[in-house]
Amino acid sequence: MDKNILGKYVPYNTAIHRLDPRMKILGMIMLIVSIFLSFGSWTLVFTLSGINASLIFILMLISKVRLRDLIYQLRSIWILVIILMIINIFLPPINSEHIIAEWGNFKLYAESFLQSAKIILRLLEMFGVAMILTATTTPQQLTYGFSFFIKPLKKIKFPVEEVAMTISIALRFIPTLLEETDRIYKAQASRGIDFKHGSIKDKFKGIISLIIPLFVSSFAMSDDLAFALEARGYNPKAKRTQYRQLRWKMCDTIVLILVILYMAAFITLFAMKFDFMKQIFPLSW
Amino acid sequence: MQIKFDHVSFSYNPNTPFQVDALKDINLEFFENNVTAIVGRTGSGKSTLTELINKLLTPTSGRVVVNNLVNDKKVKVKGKKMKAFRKDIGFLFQFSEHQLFEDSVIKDVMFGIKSYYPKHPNPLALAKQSLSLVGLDETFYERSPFDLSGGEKKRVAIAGVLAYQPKVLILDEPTAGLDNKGKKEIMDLFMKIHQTGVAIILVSHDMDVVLEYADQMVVIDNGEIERIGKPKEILKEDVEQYNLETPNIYKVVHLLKRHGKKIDENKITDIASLIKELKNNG
Repeated sequence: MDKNILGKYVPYNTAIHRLDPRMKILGMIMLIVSIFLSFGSWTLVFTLSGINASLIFILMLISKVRLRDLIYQLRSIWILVIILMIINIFLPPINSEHIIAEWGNFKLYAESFLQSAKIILRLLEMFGVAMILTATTTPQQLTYGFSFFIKPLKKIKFPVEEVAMTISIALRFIPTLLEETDRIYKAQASRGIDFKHGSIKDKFKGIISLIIPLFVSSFAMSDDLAFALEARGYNPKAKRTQYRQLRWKMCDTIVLILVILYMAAFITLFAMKFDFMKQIFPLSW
Repeated sequence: MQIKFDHVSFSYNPNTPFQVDALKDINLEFFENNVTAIVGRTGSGKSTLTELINKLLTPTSGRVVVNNLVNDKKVKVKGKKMKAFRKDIGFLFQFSEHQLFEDSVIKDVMFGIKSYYPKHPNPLALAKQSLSLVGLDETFYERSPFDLSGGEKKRVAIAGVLAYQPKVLILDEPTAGLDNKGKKEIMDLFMKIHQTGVAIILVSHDMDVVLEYADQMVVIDNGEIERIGKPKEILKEDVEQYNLETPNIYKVVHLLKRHGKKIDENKITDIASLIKELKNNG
């Protein structure tokens, strides 16, 4: 469990860690919009992607998210990468004109690879943004941030506070359950289950030997929690205040404006279909 | 069965902000047919130390040698070899009652035998034998482990570990949460197992248990070995310097001494020996 997984909070105290979670959620959405708004000639697509990538890289440096952890994500999507390649090679994108190789009727286009590269780059950039958000924001803060955004739904009788409470409890129990999993894992490994290298039958048995005790103890835990809430007179319908108030600061506004400007630039380019790379290098693809 | 630690260090999450150096340069040898107690305060690294023995963890540097099998970073161990590592070591965790998962007691006890010795001719006999050793009769065999009481569950878990006949038994806080009677019962059970030739490694906070049952004692603080020796010798000193608690029985002895009784601490390990000593000295 020592791998830096997507979505794990890393307790540094950087400028990005100190930003308001609401700002970070908005910022993430806007950056992702920008990432998916590249268009036009391949040169322009990759120039824009490159601009996004360098911005994300700078943000990663500031927030101390390591590039290695991002690259590590590639391991989980390598099958996707291969499928993408195959699909793009056999079904080249429209307007493909640069042939690399030719076998009879079959033509291998350069665009196939460019298209795959474009998608992978966008995915990685999106992962990068998401990693920056989750690495710099505690799950609790994220919940507060999200519940702020769904607050207007209260008007249509959506149980915002109950949902927020449920999410906080769920998040609160993730480490507890991981700990429990770790403990049971070790106990069953000591009893001869080889989770990593065993045969499929072994692994199946291993998973059962993990899941059943986990279910039993998580039911016991939720029972305890329910009793504890009842005993203290918890009323889900009551109006709630928060112990830790989110405080929107001046720097949040500034960063938000910068991100809005950044996204606006991309949207403007996209809306005007202004391919400046084509202007500079008329011969570019 | 030989267990030897050779310059072992272990860090959790190395090279990340979560890095914790749990053990630093440990050199240690466990003697056969001993009860060795590993003591130290919470977070001192004692659990980490035991988990290195059956390769639940791999040292960050240095090596652990168990029965000619080497646990270090360079040697990749998997599959059958991993089982060879673990089959002679019984590991009983603190919340061992949580590890039960089969639908009947007897199946759960046989689980360990079946996974270590898939071709064993008679796992049922071994399971029955270890169940009777922990004091559960045949009325329990077909019951679901989830319907049992806490104490009974713990006994089933112990039987499940004993069933594959380990040569070393690692006990992580076996007496936690038990009253005095329960403590005595469970420790007597482990001593009964010990007499059949099983070495015991005992991780405990309870200095009275350590004093009464251990032959050798290893004191760990902040991931380093502070002392190794006989429990009597270490515990009669001021052990609070290692963040340990003086055993209750010694607290009584100190009180009696202050009131003028002549007592030889070296002869005292439990209440019975204290009474005997008091009688001898009038």
